[in-house]
Amino acid sequence: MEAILRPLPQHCPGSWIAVWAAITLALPSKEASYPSLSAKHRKILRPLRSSATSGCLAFRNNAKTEMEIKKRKNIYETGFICPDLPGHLNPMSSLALQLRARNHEVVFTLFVRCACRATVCSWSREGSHQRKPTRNEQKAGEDALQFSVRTLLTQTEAILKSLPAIVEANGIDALIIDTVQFYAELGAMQLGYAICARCKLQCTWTTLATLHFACMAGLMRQLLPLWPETEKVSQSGLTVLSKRQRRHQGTCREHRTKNRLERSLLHSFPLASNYPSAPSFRL
Amino acid sequence: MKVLIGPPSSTTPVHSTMVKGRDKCGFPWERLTGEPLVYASMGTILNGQVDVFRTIVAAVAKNKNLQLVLSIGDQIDPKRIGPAPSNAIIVKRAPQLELLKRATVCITHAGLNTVLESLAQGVPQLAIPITYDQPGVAARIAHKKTGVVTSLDKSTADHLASLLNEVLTDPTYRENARKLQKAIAEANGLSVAADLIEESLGVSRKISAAAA
Repeated sequence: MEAILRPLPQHCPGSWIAVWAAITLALPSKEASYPSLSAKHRKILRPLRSSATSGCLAFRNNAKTEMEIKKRKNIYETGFICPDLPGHLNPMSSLALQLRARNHEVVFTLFVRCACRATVCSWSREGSHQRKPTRNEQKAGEDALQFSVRTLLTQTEAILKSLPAIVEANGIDALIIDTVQFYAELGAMQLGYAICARCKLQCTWTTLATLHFACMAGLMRQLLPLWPETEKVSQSGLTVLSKRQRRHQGTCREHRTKNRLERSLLHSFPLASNYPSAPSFRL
Repeated sequence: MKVLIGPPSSTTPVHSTMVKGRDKCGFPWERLTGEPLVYASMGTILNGQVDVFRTIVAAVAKNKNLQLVLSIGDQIDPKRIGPAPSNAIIVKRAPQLELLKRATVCITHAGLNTVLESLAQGVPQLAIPITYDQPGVAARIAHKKTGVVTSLDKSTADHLASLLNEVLTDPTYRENARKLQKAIAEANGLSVAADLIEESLGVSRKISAAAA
């Protein structure tokens, strides 16, 4: 695993611009291979976006009283943002344990649609509001793309809206964000937090955005107008990102990105927002 | 700042508790025959394609001296893969770490978590990368010769069976996997990761140790 510790610059709006512009620029130059969003699809996606139902819940170790916490020194509250998937939750919980062993407080925030309570260590998990997961394995091509974008939009919106309250309520000092939920960085940026990204390989945020958004970029570009508050910053950030992209053009390997895109569309149903929650477990 | 720390699920002191913390999933241990075990998993997100699993099952079925444990995830019904051959155990979820300890080869989508857990047990891999960072991870498997890599497009039963045979018969792959196993164990990645986080938060290690 490779960790990238990247303290955010104080000027957060710049980061916003960069990320959102990266989304729009992640699209390979030739867009012919991507389906454009029709008016019909806009009508479908607009109400879906406005009725975002992603649940955002933070959980913390409940054994400590406020007085006990105050007595401690050098104890920090670390928030983990992670999908409720074993392959992601397992290493994150392992790292959380290590921090717990050093007397830090750890809070897990699982951004999943199922309004379920997850628990790591002494967190309790309650599945009282779980929804029946939707079967999505049949999705491919544009259906998969739309599903991914809908998921991404609802999750991102939910993160932006709810993360400040979660952070405030739990007194979180730093956020550790799983690779696959890289868009949660936007929430951290919004708060001006330092980010410790659990990152695979030598991915900077730009390449992360390229890899993960590659399968969504065509649609995302079309969707941005639906998000007036981001459209403006995205447009103004295009110039900056264009320069950056030109600088890295020699290493872009567009054809490989395109192949990955096609594979994503053909062989996966990415970012399953209704993924069933894992059963409870204790460390 | 960028620091290589290795997998967080390495054989560090916390490792045993990490195993305890995982989902408890039932597994028919009594069905393991003691024959060389091939563990196969295509991850938790990109596991919706039945054909890939069918190909893996068909490939391992060609060698009756092997036993396959195939973890397919929650997305598809095991029945859709078709009748399982006698040497295959198909489950939705599997205790991956425990199985990797017994495995001879790991068939993987080259997801970093599975690959690192496999290497942490010194198990060579047959990688079928699909997307995201998986081609990059697979390229490193090929470069370090801890396994073999093929593409999804070329993944026929015959081709996979041939690659599987190559990994099984050439000791180089296991030797290299064990070298990395040693390196992972020595890296103590979990502790280093926690150090980095504390450092970024401004925690003094001396003070932190005293507080503990």
